[in-house]
Amino acid sequence: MKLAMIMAFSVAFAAAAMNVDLAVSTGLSYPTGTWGSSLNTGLDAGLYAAWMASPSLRAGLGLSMSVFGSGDQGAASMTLLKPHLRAAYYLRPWGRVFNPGILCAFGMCRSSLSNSGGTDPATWDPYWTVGLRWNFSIGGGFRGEVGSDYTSVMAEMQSGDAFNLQFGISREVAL
Amino acid sequence: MKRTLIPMLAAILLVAAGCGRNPLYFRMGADYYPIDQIGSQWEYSIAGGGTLIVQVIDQTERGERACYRVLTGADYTYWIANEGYLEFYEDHRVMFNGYEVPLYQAWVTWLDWPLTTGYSRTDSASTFAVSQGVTISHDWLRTSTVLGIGTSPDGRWEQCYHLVQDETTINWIRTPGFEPETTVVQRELWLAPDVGLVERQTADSTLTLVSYTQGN
Repeated sequence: MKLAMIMAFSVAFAAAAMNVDLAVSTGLSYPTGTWGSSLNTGLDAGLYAAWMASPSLRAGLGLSMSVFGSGDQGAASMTLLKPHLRAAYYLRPWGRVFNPGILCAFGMCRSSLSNSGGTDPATWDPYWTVGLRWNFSIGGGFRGEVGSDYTSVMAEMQSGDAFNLQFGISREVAL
Repeated sequence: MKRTLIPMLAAILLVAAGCGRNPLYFRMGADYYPIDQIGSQWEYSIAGGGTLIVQVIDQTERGERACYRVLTGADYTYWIANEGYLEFYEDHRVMFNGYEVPLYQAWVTWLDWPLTTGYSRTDSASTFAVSQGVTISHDWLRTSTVLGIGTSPDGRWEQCYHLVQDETTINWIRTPGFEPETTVVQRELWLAPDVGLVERQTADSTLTLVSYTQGN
């Protein structure tokens, strides 16, 4: 709650008198490495607000969440909550159908695991993401985006890496 | 924007710093019961004297399923290591009038991964067999609960899951002169990452891992 309030105030303050790109995304998350051996493919969703320093360059804040379930007959679930800073650079911001871009993000990840009535202590760890994007117009002032990310939670002793497929919608807003 | 982002980053780091870190991903990636490598050997010391050797012998078939055969002292046990769970072949028998009577044979999930603090699993069976014209009933209940994460009692192994298993068996030979025979066993187990069972305590015995050799 405290974290959400800090983020909300910061986003509101940062958005004052500027062009802002607001986006939502969803996607699939595939754990790489042994940490995900007993988990299924995860679902990913996020909200983002980015200041458009130029048509190509944007930087801002995001909050994303991933949820994984058991890979087999079990009842395990794992939830990742990731407040972060992100920056993106697009090569052809005027392109209607092909606007490739790259993005990177850095933040903190809260990981919590539960299974069969038990819950392991949650852990907050730094995390980073790098990704590629294909941005395109979908009309009505909205733009669509597809892409893939590689993300790594830098946890103690072993990192939690994952490959993500992302689908998003965004809209530029002048404030 | 820069003036906003820096305090924002500081705020996130401050909030995060107030929360704990622990090697959750390490535990999730570790094998807490590595029974699927032929040749693996665990040597335990028995409190009060003695040694117990546990060794993964080979792969075989049991109950129409491929499994690992494990020699525990002089007895064989059978295990299946799946991605998400570990299965054990329950083979319950009683002696009656000089004959060994099979009561319950089945694959039962022993633990499902990943373990968590407070995890609880209960398995049970209620069955009967007829031997020499006499019915023998068999009721079995086992509950496994994870009490927490910590270091093994001998201090050698970290990030262990500490479990307690309560197992109750009631065998009743349904003929005059026999009463239900109830056996209650409580085991405390410590499972270490990529090693497996490092300590087992029951009311009448304590096993402590002395050495572990990983198989192929």
